[in-house]
Amino acid sequence: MSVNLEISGISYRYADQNAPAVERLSLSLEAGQLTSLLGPSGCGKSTVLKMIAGLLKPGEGDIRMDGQSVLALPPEKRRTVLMFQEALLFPYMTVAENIGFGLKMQGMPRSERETRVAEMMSLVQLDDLGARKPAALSGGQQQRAALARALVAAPRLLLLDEPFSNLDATLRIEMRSLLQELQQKTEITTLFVTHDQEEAVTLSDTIALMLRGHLIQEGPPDAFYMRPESREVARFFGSLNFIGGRVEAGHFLSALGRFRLPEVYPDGNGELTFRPENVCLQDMPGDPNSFTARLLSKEFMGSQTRLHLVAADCEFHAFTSPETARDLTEGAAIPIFLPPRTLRVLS
Amino acid sequence: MTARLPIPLRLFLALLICWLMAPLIPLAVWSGSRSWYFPDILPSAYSGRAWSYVFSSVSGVPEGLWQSAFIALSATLLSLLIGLPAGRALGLYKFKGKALFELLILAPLIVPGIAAALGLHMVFLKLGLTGTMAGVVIVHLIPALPYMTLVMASVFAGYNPAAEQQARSLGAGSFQVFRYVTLPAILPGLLTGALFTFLVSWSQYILTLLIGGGRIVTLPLLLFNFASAGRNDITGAISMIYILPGAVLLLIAGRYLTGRNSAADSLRQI
Repeated sequence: MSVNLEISGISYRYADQNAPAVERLSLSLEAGQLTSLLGPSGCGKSTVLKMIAGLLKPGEGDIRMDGQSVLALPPEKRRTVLMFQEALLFPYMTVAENIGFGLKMQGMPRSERETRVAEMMSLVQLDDLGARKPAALSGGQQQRAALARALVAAPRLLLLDEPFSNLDATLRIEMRSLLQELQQKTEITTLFVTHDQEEAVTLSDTIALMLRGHLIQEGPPDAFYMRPESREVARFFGSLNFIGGRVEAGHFLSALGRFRLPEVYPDGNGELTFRPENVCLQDMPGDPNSFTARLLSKEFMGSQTRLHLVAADCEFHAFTSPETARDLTEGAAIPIFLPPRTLRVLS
Repeated sequence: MTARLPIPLRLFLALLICWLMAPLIPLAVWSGSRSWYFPDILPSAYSGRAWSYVFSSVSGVPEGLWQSAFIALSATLLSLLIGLPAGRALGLYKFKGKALFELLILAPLIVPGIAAALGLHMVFLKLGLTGTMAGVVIVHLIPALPYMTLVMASVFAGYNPAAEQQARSLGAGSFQVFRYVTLPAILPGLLTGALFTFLVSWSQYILTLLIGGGRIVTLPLLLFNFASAGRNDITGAISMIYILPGAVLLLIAGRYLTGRNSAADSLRQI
């Protein structure tokens, strides 16, 4: 029952705004996959979701499911169920009636509906709560009911708009794995909107990163760490280090030294980026990728400590274990090694 | 589950009820009296004369009752059709000129009724609406609509339209969204607005007189006729009938608005 989704060049501008919220965005989702649409708040990701659901009409472009344009279909005919940040359960119906709402709208007879609802309720562990009113449920239970309500209608496409961001950390993780489990079981093509890169990384088959109304990079989660395509992407995924310089004959030349690179880049000016967790505090005599830095400050962050370092007027950050960091004093000279595999040059 | 009212509050409520009910007592007594003259405290003779007259077709009361009810119900229905979307727009959206629009909606409550009615009379004459039921219904909308619109605006101010989007994405069409999502959420406010509208129309005198031109005779007009003719017994009987729908509606609405019969509950506690 899963479909592939193809978005080509859609734009949307809100009437009270000058800049378009979404501009010529193209994205395709493979059938049965879970894709995250990731971006900071206000980047237009929810607008994309509403256009797919049919709640907003794109100013240009096309949206196709299994090759057929759905633009002419009203939201209730698209079979794309949206789930929002708030559970939005209908307060006048019981939990079971809420979950069965979509099936009722499809005209399914009551007895069959009740069986399906009961099955779904046990999948989301709400077995005994069907007769209650939504107000009697906890926040996590409400969101589980909302997820059940979305899934039981067997949508062609499941659209989730930051559905877990109102929940506390433990519940959020629980809900993520529940979603993952149900999504794999039902194989419903899913688009998950979130501003939380950790959530996107742990949950999805593919991530699409959106900034200021544009799609910036699309690919498997690890690509955003290993192979960011721009400084913005690297920054969004927590890379703190950018060193100016230029590429020459397969090496990167900068004030810090002449570094070996893992792959061939065209000669020219660029920026070297490396993730703070990949910086090794290790002496590698003779290796061009090693140098000595001075510790400016350190910040205890719980499971790790962030070191703020400087060498040849270039400041950068490194993560290390709190145990290692305990022995380091501010102002100390520290040997640094940047493994070539972890380096990336941005033009 | 109801917490008991504290004694001072109960006393206050009892006084309030006496104050509101007191003027009705002489009317009730009048309706059943044959002769009641100063300085007698109670009538010297009782009779059901006034009541049997009121219920006979000669009196015009049954017809007046029917006309009053028809006009008030029509005015309520029409102001619902106009006030609901208007209130939704005011409660949910910001738009240019909203403040002016709100002021204009309140205008009929600010401008003296007679002044507006005299001007309207000219217009309605030209339109051929004077002396017709339709004309009276339309003119009743003027004082009634502000109540309906403002009540609906406050209802929608606290309403989350995302629930409607949720329902649509679950496959509900426009009508189903209204039936299953919007209506249950706004029903208490809608009933309040309808109650106000009904009572505003039910108690209209000047506008009915002017636009109805004496051809549309509602209960308040009859009441005024008999009162100015000095028929206190008949006035009393009509008054009793006149009060009835308001009281009944209030009791029904009270049950709907709070989920229990609040007015009756409070009375029992006192």
